[in-house]
Amino acid sequence: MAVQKEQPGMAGGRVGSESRKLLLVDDEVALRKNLVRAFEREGFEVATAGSLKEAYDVAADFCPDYAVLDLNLQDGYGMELIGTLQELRPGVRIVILTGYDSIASSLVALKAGAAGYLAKPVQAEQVVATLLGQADDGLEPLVRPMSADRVRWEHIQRVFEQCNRNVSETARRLNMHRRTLQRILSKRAPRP
Amino acid sequence: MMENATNTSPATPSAPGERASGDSPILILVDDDAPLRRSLQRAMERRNFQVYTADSLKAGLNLAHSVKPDYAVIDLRLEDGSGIELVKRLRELHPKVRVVILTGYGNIATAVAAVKAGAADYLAKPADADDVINALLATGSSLPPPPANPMSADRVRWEHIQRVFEQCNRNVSETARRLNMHRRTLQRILNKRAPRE
Repeated sequence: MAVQKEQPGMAGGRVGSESRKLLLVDDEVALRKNLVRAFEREGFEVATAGSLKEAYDVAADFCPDYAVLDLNLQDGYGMELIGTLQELRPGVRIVILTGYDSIASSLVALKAGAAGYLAKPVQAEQVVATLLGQADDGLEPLVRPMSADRVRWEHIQRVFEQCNRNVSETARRLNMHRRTLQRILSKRAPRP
Repeated sequence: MMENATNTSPATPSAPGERASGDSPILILVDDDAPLRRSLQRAMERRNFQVYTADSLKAGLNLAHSVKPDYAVIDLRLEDGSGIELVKRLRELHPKVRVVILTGYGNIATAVAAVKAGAADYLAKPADADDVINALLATGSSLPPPPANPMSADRVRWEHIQRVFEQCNRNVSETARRLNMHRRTLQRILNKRAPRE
């Protein structure tokens, strides 16, 4: 394969003519800036959005080839964008990037067609590698069981996803108070 | 541990509704945890699955070649390798097989890798037989419907701690280390009765 060397913005080793429009949706300004720099270094043409609504507006004009989506946005749930982005640009490569990560929502994302799913905090290089399909494949041996709090979180998240993210229904099934559940869901994921 | 691929001939009076003929669906179950394997095997046989078991990646690969499974339940972390390799191989050999990963060492990276390899679902232990059945029989690309009566969140946490505790031969310090908890916190949890299911 002809890899263009020494050309700025082509560090991913791809051919230059390929379109690399990337939509980054995240409501954390600092993280967004940091990622934009990293993406532009890799030759992506980046558009950003800080909310779901803004993301829909930008996507409609920009028709991105790649997208990095945060999930818990102020005005909605980033997973919703997957379908729209796929309609705008079939074959779009989508990576989910979230601080509310769970195995259950990673399954939902992958089944909806996302190419990757990463938990925050994450190195920009890893996001790039995942976008380009160059990340390792998760086959490294697992040496540690999940933390006890993480197992509890994963269980709650799975039932939540199975209830289509309906809080009242999830609380009822898990026999918890709705407010207790709401509090748990509003916190970031415990460490793995 | 020396059983390799044991075909148990279950009593299967009738097949589940989704199969037209009278034969029961074939399930392969690969897990190196012998007690779990046996209890899951019994539970699945009661539900008319014809179950073949294996306790290692190698034995699982052999099974993949010798039987034609409709379903598979695979542990992620086998003594001689990753269950994800087996998922890939199974899906190559039997494109219609529905595979569910069942693991005590779950994480996001392997869940993603499992789905990419063709797994339909990925369950963290503790999961009961109903969870496994629901995951196997779910249709389409969505998660199975929510269980009517799932384990409570506290119970799941407790079961997990107990499982790691047993794996550490009930050594409190070692368990605390592996779970990355304070020894005293763990001791306090272990001294209490189990939370409601």
